[in-house]
Amino acid sequence: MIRFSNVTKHYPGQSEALRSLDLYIPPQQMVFVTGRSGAGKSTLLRLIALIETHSRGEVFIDNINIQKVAEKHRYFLRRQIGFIFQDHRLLNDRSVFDNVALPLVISGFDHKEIPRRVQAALDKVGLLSKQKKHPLMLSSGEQQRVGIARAVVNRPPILLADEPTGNLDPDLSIEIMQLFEEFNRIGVTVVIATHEVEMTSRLGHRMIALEDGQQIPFGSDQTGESIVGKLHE
Amino acid sequence: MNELKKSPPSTMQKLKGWKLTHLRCLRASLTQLLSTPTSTILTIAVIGIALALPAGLTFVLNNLGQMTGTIDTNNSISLYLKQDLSSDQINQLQKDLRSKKTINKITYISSEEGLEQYGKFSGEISRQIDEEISDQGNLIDLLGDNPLPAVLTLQPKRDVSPEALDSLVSKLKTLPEVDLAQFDSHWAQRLHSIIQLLNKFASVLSVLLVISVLLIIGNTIRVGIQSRLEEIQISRLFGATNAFIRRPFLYSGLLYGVLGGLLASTLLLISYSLIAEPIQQLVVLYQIEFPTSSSSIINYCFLTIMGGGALGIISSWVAVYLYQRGLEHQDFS
Ligand SMILES: Nc1ncnc2c1ncn2[C@@H]1O[C@H](COP(=O)(O)OP(=O)(O)O)[C@@H](O)[C@H]1O
Ligand SMILES: [Mg+2]
Repeated sequence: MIRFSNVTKHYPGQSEALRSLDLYIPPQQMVFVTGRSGAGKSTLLRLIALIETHSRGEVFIDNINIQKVAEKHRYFLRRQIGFIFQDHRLLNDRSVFDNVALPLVISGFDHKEIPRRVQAALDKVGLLSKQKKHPLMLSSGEQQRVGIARAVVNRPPILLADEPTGNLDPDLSIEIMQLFEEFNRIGVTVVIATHEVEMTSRLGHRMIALEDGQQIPFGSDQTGESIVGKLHE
Repeated sequence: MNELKKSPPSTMQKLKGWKLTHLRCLRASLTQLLSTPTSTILTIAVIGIALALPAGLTFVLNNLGQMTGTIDTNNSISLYLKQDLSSDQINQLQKDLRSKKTINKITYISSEEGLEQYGKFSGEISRQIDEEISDQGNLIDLLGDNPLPAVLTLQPKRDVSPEALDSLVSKLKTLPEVDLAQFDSHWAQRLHSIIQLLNKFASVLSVLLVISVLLIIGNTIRVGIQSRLEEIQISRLFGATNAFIRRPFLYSGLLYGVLGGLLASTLLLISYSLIAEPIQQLVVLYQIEFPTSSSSIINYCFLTIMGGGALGIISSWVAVYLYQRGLEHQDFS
């Protein structure tokens, strides 16, 4: 589903955020990308989501070399991806309903079908009763769930989440992760960047560890080791 | 493996969706403009005035141009003869003048004929004046003896230069039989060249004002883009096409242009209603054909509104195009 071949990302005026990365994430897999702050987790997700473009190498999404797709045609690839930000990035001047409806409006959905779809997505994250509220009236966990509803409303085959539980307490974090597992169970490829190695490694999914923009064997860094050690106790 | 699914809607669905999308978009743009009423009103006022100036100027100049076009602009010269000339003297003078190479044709209007013409010509006005002085009788009766001089109208040959005509007139002035010699339509020619000059001035001014309208709308849209960057970025992330991003801004540009055009038209109509009556009097007084009609001012208003809308779409398109071209080579978010 997602393939990185020798990918390097160089931000202007910065050292390389990703260095010669090779990576394959098969369809319907759920993956956690871990690593310290600055390891390149966000960069990895943003390359997949076509928010940023890589400097060298090749990125394939569903066997399409994204570099070969002109910017004005990339919208079609972007519609296959749901993206969840750590800071939600909801539009605060619109209702919860309108926020979640946005991807459907963008894709030109039949206007009669939009309410049904939006309500199904909100129901899934347990916020159906809040659809008329504005994002700022919600708690941080609720806002994050609105962000998730927005990302899944279009039923994209790929779901990317950048530290989706970064601002949440542990109970809420587990709930959110379980939500992602549910989506994964119905066939969605899920890639989640996180620094919460302890909680996520318990869930038994594939872990990809990054350090300085390179993939390292999971558990070989200090955080990983201590966790793995704990798990073996 | 191939999870990327495409479910193409039917053409009818697409068409219906398309119409709905555009209507929603127009409504959203209108709401957007109304959400910042002060700046919207100011922007529209500036656009309206900037459109009204060239439209009004062109309207006035076009009409003046047509008006002077109806005035005989040949270079005929009128010689007003002294009162006490005998018909022999007049005949002799005509003969002398006919021998001049520069003169093509001579027409003689005796003072009696002049009076008759004047009677017809001033009929309307004298009727008006008569109302005020009705108990004192007709205007011409008032004047007593026929005050009008006999007139010789000289038609110079076409190829005579203006300088030669000038010297001819000054020579004619010195003739003992002549009281006064003047070009009949000198003022009309001058007006004509003044209008031509004004036309050039108006063209330059119009181009400048049209450019400023383009810049005003373009900049307003650019500011709009800046203030909605978050929304644009999120929309792009979820797969919005360039056209989708562009659409609301094109509608905003269209609305600014059309509303500015409407304001300009209102200004035009108000100004027109203020000058319509004086113009009507002018028309009666000078018996000139002033081609202005209320339908032509309506046409101008219509054109101004259409032009405003077109300028709005063009400038907002350019503003969004420049923004989107910047994105092609640059990461977003
Ligand atoms: N927009 C950016 N411009 C410049 N440098 C950036 C940008 N985003 C990230 N970086 C740099 O790239 C490296 C990786 O960052 P990031 O992918 O955000 O790491 P993580 O998400 O793992 O914390 C860091 O050194 C960071 O400073
Ligand atoms: Mg990050």
